[in-house]
Amino acid sequence: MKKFIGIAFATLLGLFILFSLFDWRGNYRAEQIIWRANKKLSKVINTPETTPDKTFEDIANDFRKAIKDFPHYPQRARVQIQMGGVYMAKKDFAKARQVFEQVFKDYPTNDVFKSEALVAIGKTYEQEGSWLKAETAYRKVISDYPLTENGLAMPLYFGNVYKQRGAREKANNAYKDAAMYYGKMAEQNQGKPIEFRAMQLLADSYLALEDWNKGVEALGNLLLTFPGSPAIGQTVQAINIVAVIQLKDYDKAQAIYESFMKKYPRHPLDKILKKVIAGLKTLKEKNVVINPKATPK
Amino acid sequence: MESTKTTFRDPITLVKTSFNALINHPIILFPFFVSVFIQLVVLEFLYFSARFPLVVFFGPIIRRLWGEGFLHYPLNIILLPKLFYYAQLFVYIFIGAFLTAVAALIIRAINNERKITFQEAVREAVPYYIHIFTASLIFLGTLKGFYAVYDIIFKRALLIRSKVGIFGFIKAVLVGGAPYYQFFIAILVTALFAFLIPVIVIERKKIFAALIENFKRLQRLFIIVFIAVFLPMLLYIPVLLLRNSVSSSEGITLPEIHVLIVVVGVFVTLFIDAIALTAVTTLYLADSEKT
Repeated sequence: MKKFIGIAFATLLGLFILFSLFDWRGNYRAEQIIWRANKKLSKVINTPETTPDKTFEDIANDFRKAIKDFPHYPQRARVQIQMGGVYMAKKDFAKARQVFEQVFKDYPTNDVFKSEALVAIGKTYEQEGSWLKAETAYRKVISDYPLTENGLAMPLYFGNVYKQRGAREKANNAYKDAAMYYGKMAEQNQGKPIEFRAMQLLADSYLALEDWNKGVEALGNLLLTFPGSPAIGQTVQAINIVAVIQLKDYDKAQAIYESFMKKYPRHPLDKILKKVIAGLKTLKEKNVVINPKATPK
Repeated sequence: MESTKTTFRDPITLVKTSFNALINHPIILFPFFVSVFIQLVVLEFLYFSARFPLVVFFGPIIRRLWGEGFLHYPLNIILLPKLFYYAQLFVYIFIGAFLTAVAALIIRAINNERKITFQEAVREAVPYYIHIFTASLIFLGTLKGFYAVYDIIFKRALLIRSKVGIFGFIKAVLVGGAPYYQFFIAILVTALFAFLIPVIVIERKKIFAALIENFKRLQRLFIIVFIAVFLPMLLYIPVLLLRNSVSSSEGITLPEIHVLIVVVGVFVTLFIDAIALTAVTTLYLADSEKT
């Protein structure tokens, strides 16, 4: 039996070494190193004042090593941006911008990575308190990379920033501009994947403006235009919440669902929508009114 | 090994005797070590399933069943215990149960003061492979059946809205104790079929005759068998507690700890199975001599 245990142990160890060596420079190994570096960063990100500089440098070096050792890793640019994030956590914003700017040199033809790097540069200015410089960077994302996720998200982001600062009028203007922008983007990109995202953000803009009627209409259009979307459940939920709680108009939600079922008979969602309609009818009959401010904690 | 002329009325003595038998006759552990080795090889393959070259085979399966995310670190490690659980079922059906039968034959030989090698015991058990295979399916099917019943009760308990009073208490007991009820079900089903494999290979009975014989003996010996299976299974509680505490502290632990817990579980199960089988087989042999 001792011989068997020896052979078994050697076999297991041998297999482990063999499989490890096969993928030593593979993407999986890169993912491990990057995940561990991010884990270390998450422990120090909220305590930059008490974290030694060496700790930040060590984490940045982990990312640097991953970039150097795995030149074929598909997310290498994002690792570069994460490395910049280390310097942002350290509050060394100039160094962080240096790292982000390297993405433009290393990936001159990749708009997605460049937009992410530009957003990251904007964030460094924001954290430094230079909102004008941040806004310039964000507007450049919209103008230069309009079809990327970041390029699309920026108009709404402006509204959120002003709202957070308590500048309600500026926020509302930003949301109105965002709604116009998304409406145009959806129209200009019909049939393309970006149309869906533009319509989602259009709905978000109206909801942020507290224009509940237009918000529900936009959500309804989204549901009717994209019946196969993986976010269909969330869209229905959002329509219910806005129609029931904000508008107190059960008929509006019911009309959207009935249009959907008429347009897409035998859709997998039909069963659920019938139950939702039945629920809305019951709420209407019993005259139930839900006060959003009275939500129990 | 202590002669089976001693009748085992006391399950604690039975378990103690079995433990001593394992120490004095470590060859009983050999089939279990083989089973552990096979399981660890399978675990290694699954551990590397998200990496080249194994990802070529496992990738499409994992992608289809769980999504692309589980082919990347660390989600592949989080998925590993679940993958290993399904793999263990296959290992048990095709080889684990057979190795248990081999161990039962070794115990019988030792009890009769006859020398036996692992290879001889395997040769003796091979003609009954199909019956042992069927026995393992019956065992797992019954276990799944009990789990399904508990699942229905659990889901019904979740619907209870009361937080106080009798219904609140029922909900707290049924929902809070879920891992322990599943653990108890495993002990119960193991006890219900405790004699099945020993009867197949020692009395050389076919599956249905062996089932009848199993339940006949169980009618007289169920309490002793249940306790003899229950006591070694208590060794698994620390593994359960460790697994639950790691699951609830996902944010601070290294993902590899899930793999470590699986490996610890495999070794703990080796000893549980060895002690439980030795106890049950010894009881069976003593009962056979008596009757």
